[in-house]
Amino acid sequence: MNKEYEMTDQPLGTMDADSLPPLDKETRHIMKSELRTGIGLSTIYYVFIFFIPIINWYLKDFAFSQFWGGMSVTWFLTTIVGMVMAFLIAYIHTKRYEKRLALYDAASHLEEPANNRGGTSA
Amino acid sequence: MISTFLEPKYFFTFLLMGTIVYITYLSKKNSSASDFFVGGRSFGWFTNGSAIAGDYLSAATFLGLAGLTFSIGYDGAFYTFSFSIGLTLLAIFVAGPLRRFGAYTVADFVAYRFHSKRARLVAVLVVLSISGFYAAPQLLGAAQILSMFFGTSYEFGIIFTCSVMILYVGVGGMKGTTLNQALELWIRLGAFILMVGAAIYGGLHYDKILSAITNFTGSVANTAAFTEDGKDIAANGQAWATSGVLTPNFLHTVSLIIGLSLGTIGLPHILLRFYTNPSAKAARKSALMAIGIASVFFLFAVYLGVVGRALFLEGNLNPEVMKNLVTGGDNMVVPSIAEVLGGKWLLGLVIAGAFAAIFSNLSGLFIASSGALAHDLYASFSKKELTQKQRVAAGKMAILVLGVLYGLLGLLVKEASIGHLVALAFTVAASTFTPIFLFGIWWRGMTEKGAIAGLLVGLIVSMFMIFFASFLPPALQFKVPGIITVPVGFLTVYIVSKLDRKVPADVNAFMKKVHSKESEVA
Repeated sequence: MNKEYEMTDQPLGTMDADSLPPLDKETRHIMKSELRTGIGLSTIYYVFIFFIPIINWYLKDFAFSQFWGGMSVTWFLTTIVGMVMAFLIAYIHTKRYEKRLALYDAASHLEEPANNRGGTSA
Repeated sequence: MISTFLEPKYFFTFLLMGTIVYITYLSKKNSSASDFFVGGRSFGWFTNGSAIAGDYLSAATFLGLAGLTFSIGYDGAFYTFSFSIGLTLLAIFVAGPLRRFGAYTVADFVAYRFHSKRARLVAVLVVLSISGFYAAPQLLGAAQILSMFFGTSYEFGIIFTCSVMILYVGVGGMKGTTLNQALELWIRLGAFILMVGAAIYGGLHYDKILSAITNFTGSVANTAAFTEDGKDIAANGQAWATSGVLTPNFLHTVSLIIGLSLGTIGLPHILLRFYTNPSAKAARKSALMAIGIASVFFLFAVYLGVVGRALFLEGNLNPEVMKNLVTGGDNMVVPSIAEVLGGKWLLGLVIAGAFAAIFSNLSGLFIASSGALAHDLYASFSKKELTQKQRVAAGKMAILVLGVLYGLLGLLVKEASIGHLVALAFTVAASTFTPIFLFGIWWRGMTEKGAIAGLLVGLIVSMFMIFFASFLPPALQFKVPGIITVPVGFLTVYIVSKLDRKVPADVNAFMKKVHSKESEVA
């Protein structure tokens, strides 16, 4: 049963999660691809994030060794690389999303003439 | 009179206030609920990105993070870093789908996802709790700053700030709030850029001053006059540059990261901002813009904390500045460095920046909470259909009520710790709305009962673990208890939903709406 979505807080009925029909192909594809990108990027990000306390607590000599002037390795990672990473991860995600959007737009334009072929518009 | 007005701190503060009044006046025409609560969904990525950053970078970040780095060194820098993570996760998992959904308030998402007024009520309770916990320290900070720079009483500070907020948000609605937030962000960032420029120009290079600080061990000259025991302050450069002050072990550090990074995803005043963009694409670009600004801001905050420490250790600043750095607490570090680097004019700009930070953050909280009261409670539970005019009037009335409530709250927390209250807001958000939004957007199996249980359990557990931590065994006492409360929130939603299994019948259509490219522009 695929109901139309309605923005309301009035009860519209429920169904058992096991009887849910699969999502339509396009939504499933978008969700899968977005989730894959999101999880991939956030995994990389969190590996980096947790790497810092790990070296701070378990590899102190390396973490607090001099890197540049008075700056230690961990200071550099935390205050400079960390800030760049926050932006970089979000930037890659946005660019990938825009690429997917462009592909979708291109596919929609290709479909339009095919749909209109042999007929006149209303 | 004129000479007082021309004193930089008054000049910049009055200039800021005048600009706020002017922008508010220009944005006063709010003819529909959409105008009042989401600014007619008309803000492009630059304006909204600036406003999101303005909303996120509160006075605690503008003044507090540099101050924390100044006093505790590396741990202060790490705390700053933990704040920088959340917006990126928000941009990846929530920003676009939330805009495609396109409602008015955070509670709307929960209510419409499950078609449930019960869920709306619980969501309103959580919105008001988070906003209250976040607003209280902002008001506390505002009253302290007014008292520090203008010599006013604590009570006057609270009443003044709430009055400005009632005017600012009540008249301007989301339109005025957004434009003011964007402007206020650039005032703060401008002040930081000038300070960083002046520091670099003055030869205070990062590597050089860090080296001087870490190699300094001994007494700081010219501080004895301002300490209680009459002795110069002792400083240990190696201890300052290493970790262990803020968090006593690895587990506490992980808990801090979880609480602060996931807390951002659940902050109602930040989530709300993504409804104000015209499209999901603009929402994502706004988030990217906000992350860029916040990253630069955090980078500068840490550097300025280091600059302050280096200047302080030299011990030859003027006695008034030395006194402020010794006795003024963390919030006095940025103003003190500003005065050293750029004299009274830069100090004036920093004071205006501090007010800008408070107004910007508080206005976001006011607009999010007014939506919860006027739209989610009054309009949704009203027996008759309200006109657009009545909805706007209800929003304005809610701002007035909130001004009084928050004012009372501000008076009650005079002795509280700002950091404690902010940590509470982040922990509650991470343990309540974060599971709801992540599961709600990405998992069809979440049920109404699962969502309500998750919100309530997350709220209760996180409040208990912060307010009643002393009743817990030492191993469970955390400053930011995210490592316990966040998994509890997620697991509650998951387990109750799995047991309940009654998902909304239109959940597939919901997923299509929030993910499909067709709803890119609503």
